Amino acid sequence: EDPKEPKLGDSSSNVSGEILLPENGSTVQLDTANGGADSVATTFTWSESNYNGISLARNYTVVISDTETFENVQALGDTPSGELPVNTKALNNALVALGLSVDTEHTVYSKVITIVNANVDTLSSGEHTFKVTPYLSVINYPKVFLPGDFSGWNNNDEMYTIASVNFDNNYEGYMPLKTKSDGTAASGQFKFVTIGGDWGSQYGLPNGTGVPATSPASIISKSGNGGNDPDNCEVPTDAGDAPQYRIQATFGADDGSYTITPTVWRIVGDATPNGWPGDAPNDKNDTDMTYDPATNVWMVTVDLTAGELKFRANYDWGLNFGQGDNGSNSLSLGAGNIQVAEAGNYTVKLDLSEAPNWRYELIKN
Amino acid sequence: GDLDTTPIDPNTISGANVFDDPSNYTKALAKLYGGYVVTGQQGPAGQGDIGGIDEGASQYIRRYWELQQLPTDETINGWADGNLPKLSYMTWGSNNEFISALYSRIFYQISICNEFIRNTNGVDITVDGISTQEMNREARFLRAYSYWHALDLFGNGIPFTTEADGVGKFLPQPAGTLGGSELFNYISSELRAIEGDLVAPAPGQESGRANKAAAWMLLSRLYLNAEAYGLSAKYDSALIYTNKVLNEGGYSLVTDNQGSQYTAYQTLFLADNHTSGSEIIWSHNENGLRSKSFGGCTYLTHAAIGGSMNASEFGVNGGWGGNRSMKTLTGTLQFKSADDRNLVYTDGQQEEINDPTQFTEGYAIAKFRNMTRAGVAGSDPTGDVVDIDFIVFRLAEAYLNYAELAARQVPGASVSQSRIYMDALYDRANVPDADKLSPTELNSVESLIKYERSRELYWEGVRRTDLIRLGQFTGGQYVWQFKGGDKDGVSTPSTYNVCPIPSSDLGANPNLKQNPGY
Amino acid sequence: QERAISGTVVDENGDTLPGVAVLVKGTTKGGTTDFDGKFKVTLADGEDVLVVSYIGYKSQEIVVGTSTNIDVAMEVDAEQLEEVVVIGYGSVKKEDATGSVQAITASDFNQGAITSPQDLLNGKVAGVQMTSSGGAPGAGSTIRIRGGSSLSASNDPLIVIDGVPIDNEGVSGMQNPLNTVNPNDIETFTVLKDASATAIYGSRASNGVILITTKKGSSGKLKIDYAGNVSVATVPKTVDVLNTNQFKDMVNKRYPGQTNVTDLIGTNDTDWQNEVLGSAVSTDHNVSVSGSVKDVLPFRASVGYTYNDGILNTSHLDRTTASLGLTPKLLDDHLSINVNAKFMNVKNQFADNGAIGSALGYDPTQQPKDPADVYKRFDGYHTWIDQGTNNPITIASANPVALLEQKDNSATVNRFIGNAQFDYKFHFLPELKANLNLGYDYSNSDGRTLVPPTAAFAFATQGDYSPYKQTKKNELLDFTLQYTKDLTSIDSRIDIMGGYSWQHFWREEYSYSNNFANDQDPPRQPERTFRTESYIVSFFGRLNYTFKDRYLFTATVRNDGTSRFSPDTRWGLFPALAFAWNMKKEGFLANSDVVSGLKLRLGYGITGQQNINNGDYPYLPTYTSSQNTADYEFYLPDGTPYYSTTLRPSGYDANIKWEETTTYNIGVDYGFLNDKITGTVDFYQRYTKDLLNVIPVPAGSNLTNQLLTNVGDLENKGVEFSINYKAISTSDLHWDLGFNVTYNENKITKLTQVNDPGYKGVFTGGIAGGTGNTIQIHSEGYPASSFFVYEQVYDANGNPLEGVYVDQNQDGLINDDDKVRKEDPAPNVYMGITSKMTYKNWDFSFAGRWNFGNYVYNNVASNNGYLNGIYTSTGGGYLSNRHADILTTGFNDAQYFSDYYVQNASFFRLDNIMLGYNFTNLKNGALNLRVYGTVNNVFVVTPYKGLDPEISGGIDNDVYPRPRTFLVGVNVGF
Ligand SMILES: [Ca+2]
Ligand SMILES: [Ca+2]
Repeated sequence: EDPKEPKLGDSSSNVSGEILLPENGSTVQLDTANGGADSVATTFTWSESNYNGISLARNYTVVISDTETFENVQALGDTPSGELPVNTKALNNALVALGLSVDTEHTVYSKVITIVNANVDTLSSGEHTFKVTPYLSVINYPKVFLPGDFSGWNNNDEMYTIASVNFDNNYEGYMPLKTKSDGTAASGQFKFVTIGGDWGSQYGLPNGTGVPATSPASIISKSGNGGNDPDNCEVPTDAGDAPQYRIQATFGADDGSYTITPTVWRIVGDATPNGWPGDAPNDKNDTDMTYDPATNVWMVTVDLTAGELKFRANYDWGLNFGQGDNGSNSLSLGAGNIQVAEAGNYTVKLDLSEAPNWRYELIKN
Repeated sequence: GDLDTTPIDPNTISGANVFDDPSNYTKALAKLYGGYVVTGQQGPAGQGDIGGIDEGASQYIRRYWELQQLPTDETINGWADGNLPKLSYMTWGSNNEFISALYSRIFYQISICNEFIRNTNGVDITVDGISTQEMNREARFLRAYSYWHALDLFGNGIPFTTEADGVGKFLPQPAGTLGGSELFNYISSELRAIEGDLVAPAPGQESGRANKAAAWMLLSRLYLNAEAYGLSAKYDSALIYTNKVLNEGGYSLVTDNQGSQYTAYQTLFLADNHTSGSEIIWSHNENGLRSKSFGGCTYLTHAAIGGSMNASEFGVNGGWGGNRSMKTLTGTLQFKSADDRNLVYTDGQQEEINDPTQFTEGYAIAKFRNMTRAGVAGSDPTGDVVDIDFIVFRLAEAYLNYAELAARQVPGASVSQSRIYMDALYDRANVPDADKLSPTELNSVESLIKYERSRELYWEGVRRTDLIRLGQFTGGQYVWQFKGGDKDGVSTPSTYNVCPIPSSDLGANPNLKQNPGY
Repeated sequence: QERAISGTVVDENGDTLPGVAVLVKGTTKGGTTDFDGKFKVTLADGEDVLVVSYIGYKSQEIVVGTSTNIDVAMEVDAEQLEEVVVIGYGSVKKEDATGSVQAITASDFNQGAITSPQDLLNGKVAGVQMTSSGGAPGAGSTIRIRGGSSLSASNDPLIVIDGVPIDNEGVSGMQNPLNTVNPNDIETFTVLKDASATAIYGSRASNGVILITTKKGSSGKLKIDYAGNVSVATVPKTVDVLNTNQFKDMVNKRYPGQTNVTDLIGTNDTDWQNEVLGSAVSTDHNVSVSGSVKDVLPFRASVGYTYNDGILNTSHLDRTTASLGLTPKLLDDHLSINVNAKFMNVKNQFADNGAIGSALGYDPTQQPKDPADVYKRFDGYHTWIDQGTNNPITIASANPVALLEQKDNSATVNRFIGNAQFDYKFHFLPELKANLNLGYDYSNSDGRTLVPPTAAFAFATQGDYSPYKQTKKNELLDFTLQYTKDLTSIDSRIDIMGGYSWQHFWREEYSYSNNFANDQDPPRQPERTFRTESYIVSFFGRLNYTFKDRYLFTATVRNDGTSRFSPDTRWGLFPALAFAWNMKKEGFLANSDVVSGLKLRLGYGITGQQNINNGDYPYLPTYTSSQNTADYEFYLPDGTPYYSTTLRPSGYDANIKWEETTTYNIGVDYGFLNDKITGTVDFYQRYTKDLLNVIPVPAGSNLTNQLLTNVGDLENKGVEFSINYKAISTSDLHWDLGFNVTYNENKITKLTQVNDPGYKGVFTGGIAGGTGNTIQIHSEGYPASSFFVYEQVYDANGNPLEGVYVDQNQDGLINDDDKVRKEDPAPNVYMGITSKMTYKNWDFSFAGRWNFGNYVYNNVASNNGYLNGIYTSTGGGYLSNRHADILTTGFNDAQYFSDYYVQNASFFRLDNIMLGYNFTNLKNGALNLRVYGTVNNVFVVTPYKGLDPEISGGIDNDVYPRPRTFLVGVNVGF
């Protein structure tokens, strides 16, 4: 017998597997509801690549591109098997990473690439198109943890973080600094921890600072403090007592500062019972909301008419939330009005628990 | 007639009359201890105890250490020995000869313990000042210790025999099914039954012989890991035995380097570590001239040397260029600043590993040295075999167990006491106050297991068990380089929390069931 | 008037024939030819006819006429040739043999160039396969008769020399058990193959039996023979490694700009294989004297001396042999005594075979001795130095020249085998014979390894001083009674034999190791004396029944008891039955001119095996104490260590018993055209059950992980065919051709106690490279030791693709589940051919062999044929040369498990050719002279890519190359 068996043919004789599903030209729906992002958007299947009929250990990688020429590609995953389920979030991330605009239908080009190892030709299938509409997705903003007396000093809980919405080292978040989740009083002391779970990354007041009178207050890192733990941060005297505080902070290599603003949120607008407030300062026809320190959510049940509304704090337009652009329930500081299409009795929620993905809900009762 | 021969070899005694000479009880017991150290009756190789594998590579602690270290975030090995790379990659299968060598070693050890127990049950004489009943208890301890290895590595489905079973080729029944409590209960009840009859702890003296504190430490480990074996938590029991070690053992940390060029911490891993102080609770004793093997600390020392490391500074004749650490150990996990325990060797090494076969990739670890405190190489003039005793239990582990139990809020364990213990470890290692555990860390089980235990106990053969207890050995929550065989590490299935029963034993014994996933 | 007639009698080859009876017809006058085949008779008046007769030849009546000098050429009598064959405990007329028996007599041997007895047998007998273990002086051979019937237990045949079964477990310091006999002293080899023939040896006969008889003295004139030769052994071939330029290029290409690597390159150009291998001159001398002391004590005495240099430098063997045979007959010829004494002294100088491996890998840019100062402390031998410790890098390979020149491993072996056989024919009942055979086999080996502390490769151990000794004493007592009777009334003949045998094997071994100065305490390996013994006691019997001279029945039974098994299992009963039908004697063939012989043989028998290769007490619980290097360290309260001896209980199987092999054999012996064509065909099947096998024992059930026990079944099936053809037979020209072919198929049919489909089998066949890597497997349904490998995938040009293997189970991964059982080391078909031609005084002969379907794992290529091994960073770095195979494969990393390295090692080897010339009538017939020249290992034709395709066990690694030897020799007779 010929000892040189099994033998691969020359490069041209290898046959790449071809994508079978999703069908060429079909539309892939991205279903963001029902658990949304973790659902399978589509499962790619393909015929087996053929290396002269020899079964080889190989890996299939599915890639997509926005052009036929595949200059710009994103991999959706790899597998030794003949199919690759791709979940909605992964597909959407890849689409966004290709630079495709959201909420617009695009034609996307896909192919399957077969890799054995460096010594065997990598095979590439023919292109295969499908249509898909990317959606706007959550972005991973830089975050700093904010453990404090109010949270039982948990230094690794996403619920107690502040975030930099513009990736600019200016962090912002909203916390019930002086109230524990069970409603009892907390000391208001807290720290900043830049790496979740790692007290080595903490920032606090320089030792011996005491309670600052006003914001901003300077802070120092543990390493900047000679490796010693800095003191706990305090709510400055001028911020007084409030159910919730806005915390703004910046961090340098070993120092930084923070500003504390007490916040009480209300709704205003022509859809609300009291309409828009006048321009005069302290025109207080806002509708009150109640606050739950355990969930960091403000809430009110109220009759709304068709129209518009906004959230504002402390009867002051200086701090207000309008309709955000990251999904229909998102909020942005100072953005446009929120539409109420239909009159009725609503439960209105303002959820400031996950910085900076602040959200609202209008639940028709 | 002529056909009824009995051995005429001067070194062989017929089993029928071996114990006619009472001094043979002591020698047979010594074999039970020696089973963890030497690989045969010749040393370092020759007349091997088990077959089917290179004798030097069949050494108990070498194989045990590899399985406890190579698949973890602390260690990687680059030798192309058969399926050895698969230990580092956590991709082993049921035909892995290194796993089956350890399995063979464990059950060999259990079998010779059974044999000794069988021969000393009901015998009560005193030989060389030790009663055979005391010896019998020690053998039961060693059997429990090896059964704990079996439980921890292979689960509750392993073949189970006691001295009541004979010697033949019968088919042992499994202790139970995976996740069952049979073996766990057996080990704990054995240890509790003999604990009172073992000799009292002897801090700073005989560390090679099992005493009460060794049994307490094993109980502490056993109970601490109960959940990992699929049982309900038994932290309260773990605390009882940890406390016995702490309060009744009389051990103390080694804080004095006795004028040596090495730190107090390092003296625990030197050629004369048996005289380093009173921290060692139980060790497998090795000697370069009289108790020789190519495993144990001989392997740990040689295999860790390579690249630009100077073997003579380690008291041996050369490096085998095998074991290194990974950035998960040298970077993420470890030493914030000054710390005597930081024995990472970086000269000519790169921290990032691209090719596991290259010794210079991944920082080396200079923890085990065959040098005395006085700076003299160990007793073997050829530099082959080391004198370093392999420490099984030392007081520091009891401290860490206590701290973990306190963090787990076990009633009776206080964080303030745990602070005292942990500070003692830090003070011994000359860690500045600033780098000591914060109150929060002291309360965090993850921070204790993942970080603190590693800083103190890295490369001492406990890592796999610790990571499994933490729930981060398999899965994707925590990955390290080459976990799952991928350069950057990938999630691995929980299958690997227990090792496969070797296919050779499944082939030999149909009563056994393979662990799921293999 | 009387007249004196003289003359010479020659055989069919023209050789003079001594001992031929030359009588005057009708008288008792005359005598036998002398040593030179010469006779002298005196004829009285009227006497004119001589009767010349000799066993094996046709009697001739010669009319003298007026001649005074008559030369007689004897013609072979086909019916008488090889008339008698030796079988166990007796002999039988060849035409009456019922088993598969093949004899080779001295006249079949190729004279000269034979330094070990097994070469006499090589390729000549169907079903017998010989594989020499390499080309070292005195190297042994693996002998397999009809494949191996065991896995763990011995597969060696039983060797019986002059009735003494020898212990072929080997004598240390002497690699070849057969070397005990000087080949010049051998009269016959007889190979017993099927169970009906071997069963008389019962428990030791499963792998066949080789019976050797030595030459005996005969009555008559004193006869002196001298045989001597001188030979030159040459290196036929070396392994293809990178040459110096290729090597330098490769290092520079792989490590561009990395001066820490490229600076290691030296400036020399060394062919290391050349440095360790070279031509070697040897010589061999034998003198024998035979005759009879006062016509009552026939004797033969011989002395031999061999001086043998090996082609691996420093390997050498000196051998002196002496033998004495006395064959007196007493008590009116009723008592025949046969005394044999053989003595041998062998001085072996062993070269470290590791030098062959390190010569492949040693950096060709370095030189054997380097004048640089750093090497002075190593006696100038180059070595790789650890840049940290300044000591040798322990894991780098050793300088091969240093390995040869600095390591002195020599051994002296003395061996004596003696026996005295008394054969007594009862005076009152001559049909009854008693035979007593007393044998003694003693050997003593004394060797030692000596390495100076300046040897870099023994730097760590401070040199080496390792003496070793072995003493063996084996004793034998056989007693048989034989009754033979012709029962003419019922046209029958019976031959009944019964016997008792007792044999004792005793062995003592001593070993010790220390540094060169022998001053390390405790020594590296303390003194150890090992002693063991075993006994076999047997009762046996055989019945031969012949009816009408053509229907032959043989029934044999042997009951063996061995001390190796427990009283419950130690006795094994091994019966055999055979039937033969001599069809030529039937009426329908008796007068055929075409068919000159035809015999059908049927045989069945059970044989056993207790040669377990695993100690003499496998059934007994034993405890072994430790050497004082394997103690356990305890401490006194003050920290002082003390060391306890340990006692280890060993694993045992209280129920271990005989391995049993059942053999079925059908054979036909044929002769055509007045035996111009003769030969044999045999079909056989051998089933072995309760294989003695080392298997993984269920964990926890014994005091070991691997136990020798009875488990598994194995079968061998095969066909053997042999043919001898007297192509030409004229008075001047004779040409005989012999050819044999064997087909054998080996398969394991059962391996474990239980059936587990996931169980792959027992891994075996350790290879060089890594630790614990194995390349073979014993699996159910496959031949033993099948290779277990990944199936390599090749590119379009037929070059292997690194790391690309067939994914057999198509799960996208490559792991153990994708390994396949591929081929095995045993040939499926093997053949032998011999040719002998004589023309007048010239003779020319050759012998060769084919093997087909034997595969070899080329470990030399797999372990040196990957690029990454060219540089190792440990100790500051060192370089290693690579196998030239990398130029084809380009493998970066070792691909040990690729079937690329499992290579077809079928071959044809021309073992030897010889040309000789006989001078006749020198010095007036008083001197007989023969001069000849021989080439051994003439050539090999093979597709195998390694050095030599003939590898016992199938893993090619560091094998001592077989030399090609050119030899001239002379035989002189007085
Ligand atoms: Ca020691
Ligand atoms: Ca596969």
